[in-house]
Amino acid sequence: MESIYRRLTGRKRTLLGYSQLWLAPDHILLVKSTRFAENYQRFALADIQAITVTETPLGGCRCHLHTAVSRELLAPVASARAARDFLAAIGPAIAAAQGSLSAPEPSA
Amino acid sequence: MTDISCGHCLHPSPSRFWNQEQGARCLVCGSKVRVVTFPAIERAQAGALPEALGEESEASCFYHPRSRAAVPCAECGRFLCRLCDLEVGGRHVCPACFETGGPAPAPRNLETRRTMYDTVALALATLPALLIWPALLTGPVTLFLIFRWWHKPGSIVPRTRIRFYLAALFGLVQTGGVGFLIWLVAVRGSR
Repeated sequence: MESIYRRLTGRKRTLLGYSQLWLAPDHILLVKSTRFAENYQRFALADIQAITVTETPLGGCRCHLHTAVSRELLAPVASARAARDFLAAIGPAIAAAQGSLSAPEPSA
Repeated sequence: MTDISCGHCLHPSPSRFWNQEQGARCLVCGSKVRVVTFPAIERAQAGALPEALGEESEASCFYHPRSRAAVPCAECGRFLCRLCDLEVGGRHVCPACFETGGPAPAPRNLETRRTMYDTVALALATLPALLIWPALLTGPVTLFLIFRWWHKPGSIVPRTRIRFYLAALFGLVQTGGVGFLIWLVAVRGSR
């Protein structure tokens, strides 16, 4: 059976596992693996309100996903390049899911 | 709505800094923050309210007997009011089934955890082999578990079965090696 998931980022490895982001037609899947088990968090594209990318001192970055009720660190997006690729990949998908509403313009 | 804030110091980011291509410096810590917002941020967040029962004969919510039922749970069939109705992937489920996966196996889009049986089998086939003696047992056990777990669901995301194949290979080698040792000991003992 063909998977509905498309890889969004590489694996952010830790001592005991890794985390990775995948894109489905209607949600983003955050996989947190402990090697012997995987835990899943889903973020509906229609519910995503904002993505923030904060630069860190050593050239990395910290990316957060905001919904109406949560703020989640996306650990796999840990560099400026990863953040750029991530935003380029999910932008059209979120636009398609939230299409009819207009995004707020930056104020002067 | 959660505060759109700096990822470093958590200071709220003013809306005039949003959607700027190059980002903006945080007013407190000076970190460069880029905020990309989407239309959902403007959407009204009012939750659906349950409707009160009009007549005694009307179906009521399983969890709120004084509220009118709006939809049955797709998992357990209980009637739910609009407050208890959770829509997941186009299906309506009650809070209890959402938490447990319901009486039936959890639908794919409700699963929050899966065990990686292929990794367990591979670890069982390789790690004890370093100590030799546990391999007397773990080789055959690995083969048994691979046979037992072969059709269990693996990862939700794409993942090959290479770990199962490697575990089977190591399990066969260990079992064969143990068998050969037993045969060798038996042959020498009979001389």
